[in-house]
Amino acid sequence: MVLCSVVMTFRLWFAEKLWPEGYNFFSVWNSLSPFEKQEFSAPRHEELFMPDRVVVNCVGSRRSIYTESNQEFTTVYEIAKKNLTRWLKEGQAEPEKIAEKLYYDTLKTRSLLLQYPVEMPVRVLGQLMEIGESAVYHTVSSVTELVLVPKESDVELLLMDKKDGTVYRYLLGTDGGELLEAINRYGTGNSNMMLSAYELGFYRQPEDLELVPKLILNPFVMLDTSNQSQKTEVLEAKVPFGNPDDMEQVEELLRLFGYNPNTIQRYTEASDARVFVSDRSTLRLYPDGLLEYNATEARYGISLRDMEGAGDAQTFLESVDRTADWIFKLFQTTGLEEMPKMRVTSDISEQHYENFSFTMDYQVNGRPVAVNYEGSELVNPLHHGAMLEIQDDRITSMRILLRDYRITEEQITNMPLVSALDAFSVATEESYEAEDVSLYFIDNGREEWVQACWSVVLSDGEAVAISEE
Amino acid sequence: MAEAYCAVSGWAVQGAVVSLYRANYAGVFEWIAGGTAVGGSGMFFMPVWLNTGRNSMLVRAETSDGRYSQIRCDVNLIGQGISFPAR
Repeated sequence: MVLCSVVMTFRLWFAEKLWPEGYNFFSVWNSLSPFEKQEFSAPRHEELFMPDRVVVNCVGSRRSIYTESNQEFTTVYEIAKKNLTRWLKEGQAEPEKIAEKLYYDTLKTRSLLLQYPVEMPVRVLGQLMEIGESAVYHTVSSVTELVLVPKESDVELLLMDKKDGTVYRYLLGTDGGELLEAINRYGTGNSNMMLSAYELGFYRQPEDLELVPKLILNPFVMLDTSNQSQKTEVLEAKVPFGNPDDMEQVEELLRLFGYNPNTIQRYTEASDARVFVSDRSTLRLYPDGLLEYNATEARYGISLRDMEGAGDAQTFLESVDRTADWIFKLFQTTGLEEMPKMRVTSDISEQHYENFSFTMDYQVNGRPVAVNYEGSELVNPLHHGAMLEIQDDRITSMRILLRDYRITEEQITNMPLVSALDAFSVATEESYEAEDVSLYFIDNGREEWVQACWSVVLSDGEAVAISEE
Repeated sequence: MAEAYCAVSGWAVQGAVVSLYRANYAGVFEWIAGGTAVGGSGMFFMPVWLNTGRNSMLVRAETSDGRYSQIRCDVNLIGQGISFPAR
């Protein structure tokens, strides 16, 4: 009887986690249990750092543009990856420097253009392709575009180093047959009317000094020249944790953050946020899906060391992987059937893997979602899907707009591109350089239905949405 | 017969009306695109489907005060697989 009651008590303590916050023999003992280990998952960095789009240029005014929503994207990207791997493994230490014009002229020949949403350090690209040391790292620091050009008996790789604007041409020393075949096969012409700012001449000041344009575009920006209105799908933005009475879900969430649901202090703020406080950190859950977490000290942040049952992360990508794994666990807790697609969207060129911050944004049907959460007197604004700070393998701060986007059957009509460019120029006195002009979903955090609108991404990374109103 | 796509593009002062004409078989220029006023961006682009053979084109920009500018260009489409994006 005595033994039985001891066992039962023990079971009850551990099942209900009936111990206070902070250091405790029982919680440490419980964390050592092999049954409580986090599950291992495949690295997520590949999908977090995918190119936004792959452009297949053919001669004869044929051009195809593929995003992740197209089936062809994966096949074409895999062929590109083979060539990139070869480049990183065997790229010359001193490649040929060429004129910018030759780089952009590849848009008019058979070529494959990879466009990344952020400046990609070449070393990170190497880690993505699982290449250790490379001579290329010492020559090129970061890129946003890579162009592959098949030649008769070789493949050329052209790129511009974002650090100093030097354009390099590498010869990959491989037969261009496979690449050429892919270009011919996948250059079906699904985007014949998309011409680049380079081809249209909008990448430089006009020769006539009387004209002072408000917008100069990156030569690789693709513009729809059809002058037609564009139809885009409407998204339904569901808010996970929308039901405050679902105690089971909230308890699961609290456990994920390392809180004991039975002992954590909780209250509701004036902003209607449910707040959970321990002496180590604070978690806020707003009714509109905004989640905020802050640790009081770096050592009290959410540990990422247990994510793969290993020690400290050794590379930046490993750290990002573990963080992404944790975020996806967070989404699992919300009960999402499918994990949302997210991309890293902040500059990672100067990040160190032990201490870094980064942003991520949602992508639906190959189209980015720009978050424009304005906040209020009590809540700070948020302009990304997620913002995270990592210190010594711990998440010390995060703000995430939790969303479950569903594509509806409803569509809206967006104005022609040229009208959007006109509207942008009329609304500003200054001149800007733009890195991208395309249709983004805009989520202001308040509406249930999320629509797309034309957005201009300026050279400093700021995205300006152009409304028709 | 339409063979290849290109766009005629450029900068113009706001309010200028830019139109594109192509010579027909008799050498008479016929309107094929444009005709609306250029907006605040100063950018204009007009879609053109090139015919096989010679495409004699004329781009005309005209402001409301009567000032105008004209540029003629000839594009020869000599077969499939070659395009000449006009500037």
